[in-house]
Amino acid sequence: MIALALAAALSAPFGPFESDGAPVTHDARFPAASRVVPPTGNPLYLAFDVYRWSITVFDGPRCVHRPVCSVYAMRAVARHGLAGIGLAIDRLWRGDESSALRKLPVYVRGNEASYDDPLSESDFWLPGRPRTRPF
Amino acid sequence: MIALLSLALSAAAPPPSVAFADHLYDTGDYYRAIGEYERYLFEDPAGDAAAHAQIRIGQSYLRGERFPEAAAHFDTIAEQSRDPALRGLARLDAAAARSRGGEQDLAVQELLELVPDPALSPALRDRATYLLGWAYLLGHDPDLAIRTFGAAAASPDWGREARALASEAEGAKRLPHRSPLLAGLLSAVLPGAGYFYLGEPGTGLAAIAWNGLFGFGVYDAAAHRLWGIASVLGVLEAMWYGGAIFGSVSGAHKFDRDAWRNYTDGLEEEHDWRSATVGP
Repeated sequence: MIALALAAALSAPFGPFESDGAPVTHDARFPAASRVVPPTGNPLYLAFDVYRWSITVFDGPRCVHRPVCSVYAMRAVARHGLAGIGLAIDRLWRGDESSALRKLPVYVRGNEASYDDPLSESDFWLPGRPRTRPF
Repeated sequence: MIALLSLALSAAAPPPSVAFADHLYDTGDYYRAIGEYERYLFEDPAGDAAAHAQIRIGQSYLRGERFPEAAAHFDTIAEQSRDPALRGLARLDAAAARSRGGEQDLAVQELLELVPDPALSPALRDRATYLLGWAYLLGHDPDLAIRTFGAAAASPDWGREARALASEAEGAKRLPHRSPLLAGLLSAVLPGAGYFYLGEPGTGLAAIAWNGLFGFGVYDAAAHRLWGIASVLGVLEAMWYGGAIFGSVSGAHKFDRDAWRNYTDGLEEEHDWRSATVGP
C-alpha cells in the first residue's frame, strides 16, 4: 500500500507552478476555455453535433488545431452569431500560421502535438472582446 | 516535568526566519516560497523581515506570472503600510504587474502618479521612469515612449537600456501594415485574393478552390435546371464567399497584431524589461 502510494506520488507532476520553461501552472498557460452549452433546437448546433458525433467517429480526430475546428465553430457562433460562421470558415483554411508573420504556438500533450489557436486569437478585433494586449 | 519539558522545547525553538523562503524564491520555486513567506508572517507578523516577506510574496506572484494576484497583493501593501518607502515600492511593483499583465493604460496612470512622489528613492524613480517608457511603448505610443526613455537616460541602472530603447522605439512607427478594408475588398472581388495580399498564398488558393468548386456546382446545377441542388449549393457557396471576405478582414487585423507582437517580443528579449518589472 505504501509502495503504491509512493509510486503514485513520484509519478505525479509536482507543484502548481511547474512547467517546461517558466514557473507557471499548466492551467495558467493554457486556461480552460469556458464550455459552451448549445441551446436545444438550434439547427446550427445540430449541424456541429451531427458532425462531431457521426463523421468524427468514423473519420477520427484529424484536426491539427486546439480546440478542434467543430468546437471552435460552436464557440464562435455562440459568441458572435453569424460573424462566428466567418471565423469558423477562416479557421478551416488555416494551417500552422497565425498570419504570414507568425506561427501558431505548438501545444504538446503526451505524444500528440497540435497548434494552439483559441477563439481569442482571432476575435480580438470584434466588438465586445476585451483587449488583453494593445496593438 | 511536562511544563519544564515544554518550556525547554519552546526555548530551543529557533526564531521565525525567511531564509528558507528566500532559498525557494532564489531557486525559482515561487509557489512554495509564497507559503513559506506566509508562514513567517503568520508566526511573526511584526518581525524584522515582515516587509521583506510581504514584498517577496508579491514578487513571487509576479515572477510566477500571476499578474492579477501580484497587482492585488501590492495594492494591499500600498494601502496598509505606514512606511512611505514600502508604499512606494509596492505601488511601483503593482504598476509593473499591471504592465506585465497587459494593462498598459492602468500602468501608465499609476506610474505617472508615482514618478513625482518625493517619498520615492532616486533608484526607484529611475526604475519607475524606465517602466513608464515600456508601458507607453507597449501601449502603442512610441513618441511618448521615446521621450520617457530619454528622461531615464541618465539613470545609472537603466540609462544604457533606456538610451538604446529611445532609438529602437522609432521602429514601432515603421511596422508592416495591412488594411482590413483592402483585404476584404480584394476577397469580395475574387474570393481568396485578400489572402494573397496578406502574404498567405496557401490559404488564398484554398479559398479560391472551394469557392470555384461550389460556384461551378451552382452554375452547373442551374444550367441543368436542378433548382433544389442549386439552392443548397448556393447557400453553401454564400458561406464560403462570406468566410473568405471575413477571413481576409480578420487576417489583416491578425497581421498587424502579429507585426506588433514580433516587434515587442524582440525588444523584450533584447532588453531587460522583465527584470525591471520584478525588481532586484
